[in-house]
Amino acid sequence: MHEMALAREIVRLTEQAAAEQHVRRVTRIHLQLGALSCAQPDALDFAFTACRQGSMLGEAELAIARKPALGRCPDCGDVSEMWSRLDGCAHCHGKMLLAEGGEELRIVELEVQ
Amino acid sequence: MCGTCGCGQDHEQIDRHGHDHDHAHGHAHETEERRIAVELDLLANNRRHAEANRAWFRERGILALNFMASPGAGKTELLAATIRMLSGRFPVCVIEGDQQTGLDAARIREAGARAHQINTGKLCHLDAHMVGHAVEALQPEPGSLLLIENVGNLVCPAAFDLGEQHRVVMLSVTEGEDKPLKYPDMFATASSLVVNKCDLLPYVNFDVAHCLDHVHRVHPELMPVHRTSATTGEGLAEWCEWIAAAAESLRGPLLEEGRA
Repeated sequence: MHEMALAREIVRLTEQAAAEQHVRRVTRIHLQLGALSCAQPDALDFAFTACRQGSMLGEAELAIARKPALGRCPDCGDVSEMWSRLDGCAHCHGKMLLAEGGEELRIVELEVQ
Repeated sequence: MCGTCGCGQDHEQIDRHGHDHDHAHGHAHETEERRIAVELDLLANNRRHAEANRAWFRERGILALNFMASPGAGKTELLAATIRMLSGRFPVCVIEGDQQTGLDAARIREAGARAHQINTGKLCHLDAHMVGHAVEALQPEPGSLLLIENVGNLVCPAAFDLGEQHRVVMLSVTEGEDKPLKYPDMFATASSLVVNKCDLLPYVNFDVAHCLDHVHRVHPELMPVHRTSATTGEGLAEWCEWIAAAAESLRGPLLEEGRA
């Protein structure tokens, strides 16, 4: 499950940022996950719960916000939110959308003490 | 110390590439609780390793291909057939990724190429850091082909850039024509597609045109499609010519400079 590799990276990056900011304790880590990214939110949360053990993150929690891609219909030109690579056009019912963005996998904020 | 493999890499120093830190920007407050805005990309570290690999390959005119598919699609067989056809024209090295055993690396050596086996243990994909170490061990020659056979898995490897020139995604005709819809992330990130085991088409319910329609839905941009049978040789001449042309275009500048 590649979410383990991502969760280990969350721990590493957070510990590094915490050290740079002289933070005693991290209570919450805010993540942005693009809807077209490779990570499944609940799998990532599960993996993180395992990875944070033994780190300075203690009982820090993940707060995961999913972000859609922008999908442009190649037939009618309509632009809408895209939550899956298989989404079609809600406007003209075309079967596919051209995706822009939606692949973010990033920590955007730390709640600390 | 690197937490992934215990190598001496310290704190993101990557030899062949300048590194940058993802810095946090804090707000100084008197209150105990505070929020720190950051911009920390979970794949940035892998990307840095991948770009270091990519630069290393480019400097030496090495064509690196990342092969991804389900277990059993025929990756190793296709690589072995490719090696037999091309090793007279180019030096060929292979990086093999499997959870366990050196079985695939042994098959590759029998076909006539140098091989380095990565055993990932419980890990489900190769990443750029592992590939960097494998390249250090293998030392591919300038102007060579570096074929990277990823762990058999249509999900996880898609997320990890290895520094390759092309991502070759394979599926075999025994897997069902709707595979691209069921595993869209993998097919969306491909830069070339191989439909393998085409000798079995008379015996299975697989319509190649339907399959390519499904690919198009998740990968709208055109990309090279190769229909092959690694066992009968069907389509291999065209497949190898595609590789050779890509390799020659990288090698050309090096030959002019007298480096290959």
